[in-house]
Amino acid sequence: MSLLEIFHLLEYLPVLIEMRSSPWVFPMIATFHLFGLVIIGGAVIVGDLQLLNHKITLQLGSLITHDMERLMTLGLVIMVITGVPLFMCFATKYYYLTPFWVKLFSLIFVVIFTFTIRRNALKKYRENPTITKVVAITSISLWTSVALSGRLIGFP
Amino acid sequence: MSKTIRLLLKIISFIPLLLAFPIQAHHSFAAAYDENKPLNMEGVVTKVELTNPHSWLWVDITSEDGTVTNWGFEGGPPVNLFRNGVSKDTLPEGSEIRVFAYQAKSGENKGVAVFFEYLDGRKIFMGGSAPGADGNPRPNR
Amino acid sequence: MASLLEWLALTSGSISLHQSHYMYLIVLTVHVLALTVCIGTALIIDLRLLGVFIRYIPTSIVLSRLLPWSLGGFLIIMVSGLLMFYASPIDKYNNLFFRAKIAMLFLAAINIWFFLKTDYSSIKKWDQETLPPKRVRFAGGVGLTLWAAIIAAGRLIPYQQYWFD
Repeated sequence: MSLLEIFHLLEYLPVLIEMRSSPWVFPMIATFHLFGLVIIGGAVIVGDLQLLNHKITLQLGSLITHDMERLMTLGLVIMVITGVPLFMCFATKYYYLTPFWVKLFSLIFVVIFTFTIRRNALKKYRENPTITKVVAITSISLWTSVALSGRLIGFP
Repeated sequence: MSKTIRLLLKIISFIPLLLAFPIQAHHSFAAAYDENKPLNMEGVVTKVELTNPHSWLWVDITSEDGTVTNWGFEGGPPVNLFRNGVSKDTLPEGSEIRVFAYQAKSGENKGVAVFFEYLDGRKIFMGGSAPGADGNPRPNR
Repeated sequence: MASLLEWLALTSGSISLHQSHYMYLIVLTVHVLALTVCIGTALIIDLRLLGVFIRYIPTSIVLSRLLPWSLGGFLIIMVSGLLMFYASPIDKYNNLFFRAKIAMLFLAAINIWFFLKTDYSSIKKWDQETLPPKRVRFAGGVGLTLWAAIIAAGRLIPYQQYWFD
């Protein structure tokens, strides 16, 4: 079965057809997707800017970046849970959309990056502040690319 | 999780539902289309609105008994239609076209168009949210 | 009001923005992405006011460091929002969700103003508390709820084509 056929199958699952036949389910799920965006956004912006020792820094130390990471994870969970039905709803359309693939791969990459390289860099903040700063900038850039490509998908 | 947070979460989760209620209750809700109500219509263009975020084609459709109703067909944003070749010059008022769309759930004379055809057979995809409106091939259902 | 909006809708700026190929979509993108800056930081502030997040940081520091970002982000959201209103003023004016959004924005502003006028002036008394006074927590909770409702209303704007009062 080709990828397109799999996407087509997902798009026309009974639960998806039900979802599309209701005028409010899709907008509701989309709204929660936005809530998740705000949560991730706040956590990533404040979290990464801490590392850059910017004026925004609340406190130097691992506790706050740890808490920001927890908040980010919450936002991520919300976005993935809502993102899956949103994707399935228009799966075949997204199959042909470049921004969709950009978002998907950036997202996978940034999640792996955050829980491996970034976590490691956070531990070594005092020994090597430069690396931490590079990691922070990379993190923000990656998330921006996820958000931007995500918005491009959403264009009518 | 503290009581406050739980309460807050309940209130916040409820909000989109509350706001979505008027959508159900209200009559003129045209943005949702019915996949099981395809429309195949032919008529004369009365108005072309190439606007953001959605474009609209307004077409006078003459039914068998002679009554003329004006239907609205939604498409994508102007940039999508422009790329497909639609402009004030290529689709002037008075053009005769055939439209393939899905009817709005509200039952109004509106639909989300997949494509329209000029009488000479040229097909233009509307690039909006209707399935297939991007003009790309899909497996048959 | 109606004639003012009609006049606005006929200005060349409004028409060109409404029919633009990229401008409107760029403005919309900026509007949505600025949410992360504006409400993302507001979220953390409100969570601190509620005493449920980063409690080891004095509230005054959270406010002083994050509020500028929240305000800056808000400015961007306002400007982009005004531009989109300008593009199709009559449709927005007649839109139920748009009206709800503006009404709630006013409520949010009143909430913030009230907080700044009262408890914020006595912040030194409760700054170090992990759990701020009841009224402060209330302000934080109201703020959060309103932001959520405003975002929801904004997301639903496209879902109502025409609504006549």
